[in-house]
Amino acid sequence: MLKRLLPLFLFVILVIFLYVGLGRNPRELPSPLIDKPAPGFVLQDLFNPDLFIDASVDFKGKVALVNVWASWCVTCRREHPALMRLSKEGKTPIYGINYKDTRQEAKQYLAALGNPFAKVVFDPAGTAGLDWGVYATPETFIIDKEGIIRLKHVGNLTDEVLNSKVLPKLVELQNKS
Amino acid sequence: MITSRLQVLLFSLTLLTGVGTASTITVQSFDTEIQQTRYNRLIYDLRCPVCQGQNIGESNAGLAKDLRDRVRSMILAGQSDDQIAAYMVSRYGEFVLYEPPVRPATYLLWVIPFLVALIGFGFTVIAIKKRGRRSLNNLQTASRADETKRADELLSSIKPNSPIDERDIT
Repeated sequence: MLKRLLPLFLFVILVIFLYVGLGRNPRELPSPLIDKPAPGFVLQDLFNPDLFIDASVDFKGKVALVNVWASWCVTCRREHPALMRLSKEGKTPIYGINYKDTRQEAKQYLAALGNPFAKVVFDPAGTAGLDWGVYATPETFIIDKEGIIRLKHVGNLTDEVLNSKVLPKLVELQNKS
Repeated sequence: MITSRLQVLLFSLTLLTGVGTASTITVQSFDTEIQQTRYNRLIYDLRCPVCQGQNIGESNAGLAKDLRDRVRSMILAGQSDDQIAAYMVSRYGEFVLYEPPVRPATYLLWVIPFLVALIGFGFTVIAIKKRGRRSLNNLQTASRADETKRADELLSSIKPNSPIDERDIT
């Protein structure tokens, strides 16, 4: 009896593995930066080339969102309303990293769709992006008061992602200390 | 006539585009031959984070080019292969390594192939032993008990003036 059921048992195990595998997104990499200090960089401000933004100084002090975006990125456009809503609520500052873009196009984009960012870093060569492990825009990081990365989301900030992943983490970090 | 000329034109156009994509991977210049070989090996050993199943040497993705450039500048800056690999891992995770490191979280990954091979070997040995025993048993039981009995039966069933005998003679 047991011997007859063994192949069925092994098959069921295989099916479970395959089922779980199907549900996972192969494009989503676990970030090694979680619970690590946000990589530092000093880059120009998007609006003011004379102003330099230092991630290790300017991104600290408050629980914040860091959003990597570009004017050429279609999904960024789609998630923009969500960022605008978050910034209107005013609980968390949102910092933008403008990734591989031109100053003019980036500024036009923000002028047309609204600017949810407290600060925008201009990263035309993608150097900061490389240090932050960016591989697909948009990417959104949550950093805590000490400037440690606590969450990373790759892709559109849909309502589902916001409600199940981003907002709970923000509340959790804000209630700490 | 027109169609054949069109075919030739289309064919040459396809060739052109082929050349176009091939040349997008630019050859990097280095100070020494060793640096060049190290570069070639590293870009083929590092997996591209955005392209499924390609290394950063094969991929035309923008990110792969950035990573190639970073590998090159790190080689020129005198960084070792391990340092470059560690740099990539610290940003994109162990995904970028084609060969995962051996540590507690990956023990299962490393052990399973050997385990499966061992189990398969065990099954084979058992199966062979079983089959050997079965045929030996058959041989023994057949020659000793059943077959002698059957042979006796057959022998006793043959009578001196049986029709079989007559048929044999004729």
